[in-house]
Amino acid sequence: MASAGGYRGLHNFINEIRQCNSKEAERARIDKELANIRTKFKSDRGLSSYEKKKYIWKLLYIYVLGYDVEFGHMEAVALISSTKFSEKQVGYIAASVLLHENLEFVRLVINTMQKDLLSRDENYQCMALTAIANMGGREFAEALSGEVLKLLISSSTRNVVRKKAALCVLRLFRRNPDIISHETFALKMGNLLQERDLGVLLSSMSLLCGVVAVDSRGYEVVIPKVVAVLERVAKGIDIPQDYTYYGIPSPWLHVKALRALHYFPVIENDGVWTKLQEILRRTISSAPIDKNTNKNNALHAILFESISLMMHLNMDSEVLTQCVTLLGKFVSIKEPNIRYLGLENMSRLSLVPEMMTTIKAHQEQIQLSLNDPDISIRRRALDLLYRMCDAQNSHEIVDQLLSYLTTADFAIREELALKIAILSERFASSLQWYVDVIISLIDKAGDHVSDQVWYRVVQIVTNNEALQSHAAANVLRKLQDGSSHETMLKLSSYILGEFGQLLQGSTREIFHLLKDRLGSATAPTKGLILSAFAKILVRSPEDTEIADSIKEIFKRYGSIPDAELQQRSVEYAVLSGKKEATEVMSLMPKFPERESSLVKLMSPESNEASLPIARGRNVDRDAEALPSATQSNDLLDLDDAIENTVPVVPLTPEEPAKAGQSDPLDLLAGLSVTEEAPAAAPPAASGNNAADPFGGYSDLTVGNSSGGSGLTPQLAGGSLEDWHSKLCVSNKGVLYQDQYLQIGVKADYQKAQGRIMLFLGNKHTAELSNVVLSIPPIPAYRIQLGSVPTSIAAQAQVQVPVAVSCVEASLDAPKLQVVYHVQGEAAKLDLQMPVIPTKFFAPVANVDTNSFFTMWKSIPDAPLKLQQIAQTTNALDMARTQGLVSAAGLTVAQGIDPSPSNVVGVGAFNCESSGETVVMLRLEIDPRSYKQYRITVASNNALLTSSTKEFLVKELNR
Amino acid sequence: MIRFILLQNRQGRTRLAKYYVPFTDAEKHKIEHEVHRMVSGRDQKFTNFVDYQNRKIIYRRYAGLYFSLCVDSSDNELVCLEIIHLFVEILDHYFSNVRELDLVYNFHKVFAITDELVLSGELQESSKKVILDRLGLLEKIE
Repeated sequence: MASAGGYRGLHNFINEIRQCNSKEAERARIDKELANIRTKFKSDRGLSSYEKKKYIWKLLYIYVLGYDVEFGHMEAVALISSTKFSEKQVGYIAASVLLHENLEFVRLVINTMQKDLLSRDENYQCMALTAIANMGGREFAEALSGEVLKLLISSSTRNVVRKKAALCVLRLFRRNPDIISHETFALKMGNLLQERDLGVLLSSMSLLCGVVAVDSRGYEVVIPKVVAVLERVAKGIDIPQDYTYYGIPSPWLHVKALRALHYFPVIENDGVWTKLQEILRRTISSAPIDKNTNKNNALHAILFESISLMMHLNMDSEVLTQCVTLLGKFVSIKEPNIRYLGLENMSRLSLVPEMMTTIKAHQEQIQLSLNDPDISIRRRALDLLYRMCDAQNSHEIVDQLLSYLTTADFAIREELALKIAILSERFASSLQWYVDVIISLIDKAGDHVSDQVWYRVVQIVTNNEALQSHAAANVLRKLQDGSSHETMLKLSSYILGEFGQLLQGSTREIFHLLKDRLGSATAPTKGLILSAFAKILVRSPEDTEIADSIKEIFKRYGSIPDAELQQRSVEYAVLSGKKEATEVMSLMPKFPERESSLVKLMSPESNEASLPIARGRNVDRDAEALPSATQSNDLLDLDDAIENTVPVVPLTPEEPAKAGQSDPLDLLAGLSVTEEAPAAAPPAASGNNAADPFGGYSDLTVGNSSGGSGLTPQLAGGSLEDWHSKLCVSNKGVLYQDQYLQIGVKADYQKAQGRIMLFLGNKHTAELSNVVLSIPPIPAYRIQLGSVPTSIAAQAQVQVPVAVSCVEASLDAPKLQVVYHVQGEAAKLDLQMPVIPTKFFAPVANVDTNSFFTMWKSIPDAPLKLQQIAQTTNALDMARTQGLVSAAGLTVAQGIDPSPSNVVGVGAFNCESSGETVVMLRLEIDPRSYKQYRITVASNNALLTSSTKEFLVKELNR
Repeated sequence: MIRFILLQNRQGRTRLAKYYVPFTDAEKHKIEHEVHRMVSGRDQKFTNFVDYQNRKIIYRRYAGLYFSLCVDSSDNELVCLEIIHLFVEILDHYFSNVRELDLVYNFHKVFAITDELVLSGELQESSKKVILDRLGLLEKIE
């Protein structure tokens, strides 16, 4: 029997838990134990070292079982500062599992960790390094990175410590990239890679990958060292036996070294390049097949990584053909893992022209994988078909996907529907084809098609007369075939109501088909069917039989409880008898052309390890292909994705993006000549003084209630404008304070939603009575104010939750009106809620230079792109400015603008009406004075652009 | 990078959960539940990879235990799969013929072993000998 490492009490406890035959019994046993442990830790007797460890292990076991042991956190942390090795070890292991970097609690251990890092005992150093690597956050990076870097680099550090230090640096670097200075670290990295010990090399190589994934510039000096390591493992030179895995020299180090090279666009040193090519060629010519699964996997891991690197580095075409042939072989292989990887790597490489021809040759094989029983393979096949789709094969692929839709299981239908929608608009050869595809899509997968998609079809059909009778005939056919999905029904009602009369002699059939579905339709659809009937009635009055039936229906619906349908029916019934009816029911006017939203050009979430794909090869194709890469990752929100990818009218086959054709820096320079932005709109963030009944924020007196009451609140400790403006860049703080009342705010924003907690504190010695809070409705935000207690006792605080949804970008901010009474006298406050568009910005990770410029260029001038030159009284400090840009919700994008005095930022604004919109900022600060700057803000929404710009200008000038 | 390592039995009991990015307890429970449901529902003949929240689960079943790693979608799948096997071989050596019960009673040692194998979500050491020697040494201090 396995024992619990010498802790008998622990062993018995685990035994007892195992014997519990119900969840309740287990819970009861655990509660008992938790109570016991609590008492033990509280007892004055003091616990022995053995007991302390035992109880922490028990707590950890209870935690692993899924129970809360929060009270034990402190005890675990306390053990860390013990002077006994074994106690410290237990403390560190437990804390690493129980705590995580976002708990404020973990900061308590920073000091102890620092001491342990400085210890002379390498085992203490190892424990601290492991713990930092397990739970270190940003504060850790700031406090401890110095010591950790010293351990990594010092010549006296032993291997066991050095490899931990390397990965510890990686963790801290991921939390704060500034801990490493690029100029000096590249050389140190080079030295680390000359290490002989393969364990240290592996950790160092992982560190290198993490660092160059963010930015490889300046690290070119390490390339020869990486290639030397690669040569060592590839040729098996000086590899100790225990570093081989099934006879292969460390496949992990091999793959990491290949991966590190992938982050560099080119290998410039000829000698190194020749050596690398030779290694890679050897790898692919010895195509691995081994009976042992582990060996086979290791060999294929290296092979796939090598192929990927060869494609990236653009080796000569003979070798590339060999790679392509290998991948072609893999996609038809039986072994599922290899086939999966074949499909995935083909997808990744679909940007490479040589690859495209081969992929197309395997189209049939790939389509077969769409029907594989394993969803993982189906997903990769779908991804690949999606990526390989172009103007030539789009009809075939979309047809294939549509027919697959009929049999596809639920897990993949949504993704499939989305991809069909995207492909059909991207490669629409004609509007008619697009409309037909979408109608089929709605017919087959109506549940996964958002309303935006059918609105889109309505717009296109309305705006293009040539399509109208075709579309009407198509939806009619679908109804005839029995289609009755709600979305299909909405679309059909609209199209047939508008254009049904273009189908000669079908009126009667249209009426009956819709009437059959009226009873079971939902209320909004019923409304659309009723409108269709009204149009039929007015436009074809000659068919009296139908006219009578329709009037009968209006009569019936004229007395149903649903107010909307009832009113509609009554109005239609009355209207149809009047001579103006024909005019009212004439064809709908054309829709205005809609703006294309290019959101999602930027990856909303991309992990740091994401590989640059064939970056050096073909820049403009790369830029073009970005959206597909992100869409394929983010399929959860069909509404959003469809909305964001709905095209401009008219649809044209996509033009290749032109980002690569001119120098990206020229692109920005070209924009600088744009004339000044139009008259500035009033800042969204600050109150508009003219409209402010109290005549500005500098007045100390706020109360001036219309009742002429005598209560005069005196602002305490700040001004309304200061408080408001601080809250605009922070989510916590004071909104208002006078001698009686303090209002604090704590807010949390997620995409288009915000949760605000108002803290109303009574500072007075008497009760505040008749407290009333109100937020007058404004169109840009949907606001729900939680319940407000009518009175607040002396010195007491109450909380009032407020839920905010951002409907659209706006310059208006919601107001908060507060009334309270002190001893019968009323005070009335009119405050501005710190709710502004920038609060609904989500960060954009990993802004890619190409997509940034593509998008920047695609946004036309004012009002979508606004520019302003302004002066500040105090010199702008770069750190503060970047901090301000971040606080405003924009992600500061490094490396896009080469000038160190400029700041480029990107944010994704979220609102309900248009989903996600990317906002881009460029701030050029005069490097001589740091007092003059030019700000340019661009987005696809004029209000968003101007509110963001105004906000930033105001904050910068503070 | 590896975002978490999970060891779960067929019933969904978590035997080891090691996270390299911060999650709240509620999120952890949800992840453990979802990952178990996903991997345990898969046929033995399927791939060892499943998409999970824009990332990937690389998993392998040994007798009644599922070993799952969550990695970035661009990570090399096969080399991650072999990290699992390396882990299993080390457990097997350490416990000489490891069984699920060894991991239950010695869960704390499994944490210590994991810390010698993976750090910051990256493989720290690939030599079984180096790891086992190190574990032996640490136990002597204890």
